[in-house]
Amino acid sequence: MKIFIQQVLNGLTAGSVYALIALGYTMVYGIIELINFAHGEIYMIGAYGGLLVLTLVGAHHSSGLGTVLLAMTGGMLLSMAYGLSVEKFAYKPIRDSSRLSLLITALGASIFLQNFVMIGQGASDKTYVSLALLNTTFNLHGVSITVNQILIFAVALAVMLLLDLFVNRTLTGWAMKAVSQDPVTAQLVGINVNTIISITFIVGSGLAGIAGVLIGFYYGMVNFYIGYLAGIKAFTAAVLGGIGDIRGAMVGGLLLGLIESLGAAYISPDYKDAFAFIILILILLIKPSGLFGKGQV
Amino acid sequence: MTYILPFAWTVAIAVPIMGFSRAVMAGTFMLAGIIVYTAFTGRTRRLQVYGLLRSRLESSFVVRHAWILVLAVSVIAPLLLNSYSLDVFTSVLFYAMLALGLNLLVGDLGLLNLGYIAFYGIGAYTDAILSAKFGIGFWPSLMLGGAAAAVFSLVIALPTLRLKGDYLAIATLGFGEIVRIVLNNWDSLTNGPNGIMNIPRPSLPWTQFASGISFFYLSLCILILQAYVLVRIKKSRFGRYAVAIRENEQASAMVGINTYAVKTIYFMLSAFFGGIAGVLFASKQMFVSPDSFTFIESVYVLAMVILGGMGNIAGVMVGAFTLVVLPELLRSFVIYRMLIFALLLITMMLFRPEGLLGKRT
Repeated sequence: MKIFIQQVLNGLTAGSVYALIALGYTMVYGIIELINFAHGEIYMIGAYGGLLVLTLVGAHHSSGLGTVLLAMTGGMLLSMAYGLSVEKFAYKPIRDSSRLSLLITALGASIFLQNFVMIGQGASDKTYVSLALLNTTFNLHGVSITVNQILIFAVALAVMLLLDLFVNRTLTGWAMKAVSQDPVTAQLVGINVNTIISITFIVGSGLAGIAGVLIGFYYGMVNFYIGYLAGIKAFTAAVLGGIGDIRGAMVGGLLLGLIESLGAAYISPDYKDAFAFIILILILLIKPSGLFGKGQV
Repeated sequence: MTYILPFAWTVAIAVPIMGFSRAVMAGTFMLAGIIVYTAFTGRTRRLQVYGLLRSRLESSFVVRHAWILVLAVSVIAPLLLNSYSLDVFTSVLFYAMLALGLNLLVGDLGLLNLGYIAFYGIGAYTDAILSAKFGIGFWPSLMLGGAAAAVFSLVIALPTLRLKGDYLAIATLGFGEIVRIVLNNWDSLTNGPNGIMNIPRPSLPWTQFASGISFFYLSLCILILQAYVLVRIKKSRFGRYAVAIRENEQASAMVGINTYAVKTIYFMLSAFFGGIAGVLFASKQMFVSPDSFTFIESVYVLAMVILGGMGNIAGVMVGAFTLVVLPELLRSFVIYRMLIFALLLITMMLFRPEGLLGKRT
C-alpha cells in the first residue's frame, strides 16, 4: 500500500508536468489544427532558460523560493520568445498549405531547435543547482514527498486555474475560442486572427517553459534531447483527454503520469517509456476523440 | 524595418542559447533567409526560370534516357571504387529502397509515417533471428522479413487509417519508439542493446555474396526489381486510386473507392519494402543492434523523399543519393548536419513542397 501511494505521488508529479506541456499542444491544435512537433523543444528551451537565470543570479545550495520563481519566469519568457518565433518564421508562411506540408515543417522546426540548442549548449548534460529548500523531504507513514513535488503540484494547479480563467473569462480567451471554432467568421466579427494565433502560441509555450524549469529542478539536469520524449508523451496526454480540449489535457496529463508510474512499478520498469505509446495507440483504436472530446476526428 | 526587426529578434533570442557571436551568425542567416523569401514571394511568385528550364530539360532526349546512363554507371562504378566508397554506395541503395517504400505513403497517399525505420528494424531482426539463430537462410528470410513488417504495420494501420492523417503521423512515431524499446529490452529474443552477431551472408547454389561488390550487385538487382514493381503499381488502377485519395478522400469514397482498404494495403506494401531493405541491411552488416533504428533515421528517409520529389520514383532515388553522399563529402560539418537537414525540410515546404523533381499538381 505504501509503495502504491508513493507511486501515485510520483506519477502525479510527472503527470502535472505532462499536463502543462499537453496544454500547449491542445491549444495550438484547437486553433490551427497543427500537431506542433516543436512544442517539446520549446519545453526543453524553457529548461535551459531557467538554467541561464540560475547561473546569472549565482544560485547556490541555500537559495530560496525567490530564486526558483525567478528561474521559472526566465524559462517561461525564453520559451515564449521561441514559441512565437517558430510560429512567425516557420508556420505562418505556409499556414494555407496542405496538412502534410504543415506537419513536415513542424517536424523540421523540432529537429532544428534540438540541434540549435545542441550546438549552442553542447551535447552533454547540464546540471541544475541542487537547492536545499526543494530537497527537503517530508515523511508521512513511510510515504515521502519533497518540497519540489509540492512545488510542482502547486505551480501546475495555479497555472491551470489561471489558464482556465483566461480562456473562459477574458475577451482574448473568448476570441481564442471563436477562432478555434471558425476562423473566417471570427475575422468577420473583427477578431484579428493572426494576433490570436500568436497569443495562443505564446501562452502555450510559456506553460511549457514553466514545465521545463520545474523538471530541471526535479531531475537536477537538462539535455538538448529531453523535449523529444516529453513532447510525444504530452501529446499522448492531449489525445487522451481529447485534443483541443483544455480541461481534457489537464486530466489526460495526470492520468498518463499515473499510468506510467504504476506501470513501471507493477509491470516492468524497462518498458516505462512504451506505456505512453501503447495508450496512444489504444485510445486511437477505441475512442479517438479522447476521454472528454466530442468532436469529429 | 522588414529586415532589421527579424535580425535583431533572432540575435536577441539566440544569445541566451549560443552566446553573442554565434547569435549574430544566426541572425545573419535569418536575414539572408528573409531576403530570399521576399525575392521569391515578390512580383514573381516563383522563379519562372526554373519551370522553363525544367520543361526544356524534361523533353530533351538525354534526360528522358538518363536512366540508362545511371544504370550503366551504377553497374560499372563499383568495380572502380575502394571498399569504403563501395560501402557508401551500398548504403545509398538501402536508403533508396527505404525512401521508395516510404514514398508509397508520403508521396502517393500524402500520409506521413514518422516511424518508418521500425519496419526496417523488424526486417533486419527477422533476418538476424531466423538466419543467425535458426539457420533458415537469406532467401526465405528476405520474404519473411518483408511479411513480418507488413503484418506489424497492421497494428498501426487498422486503428489510425480511419482517422485524419495527423493521427497516423503521431501513432507511427509512437510505434517506432515501441519497436526500438522492445528490441532493446527483450533480451531472450533480441539480445538487448548488444544486438545479434554472426548473421550469414546470402548465398546461391553456385555463388556466395561474401564480397562487398557481389553484395552491391545483389542489392542493386533488388532495388531495380522494387522500382519496377512500384512503377507498375503506380500505373495500375490501384495506383490511381491512391492519387485520387490523396487529392480528395471524400470524393474518392463517393465514386466507390474503398479508401480504407486502399490505404491499408498501401501501408502494408510500404512496410513490406522497408522490411526487405532491413533484411538486406542485416546480412550486409552481419550484425544488428537497436541503435540503427532511431527516430532520426526515419527523419533521414523522409528528407530523402521530400528532397527528391514526393511521388516521383526517380526523384526519390536522387534524394537518397544526395542525402547519403553529401554528408560523406561534408564530414567536417558533422554537427551542423541535422541542422541543415531541418532547414532543408522547412525550406522545401516553403518553396517547393513537391520536391526538386516532383510534379506540380
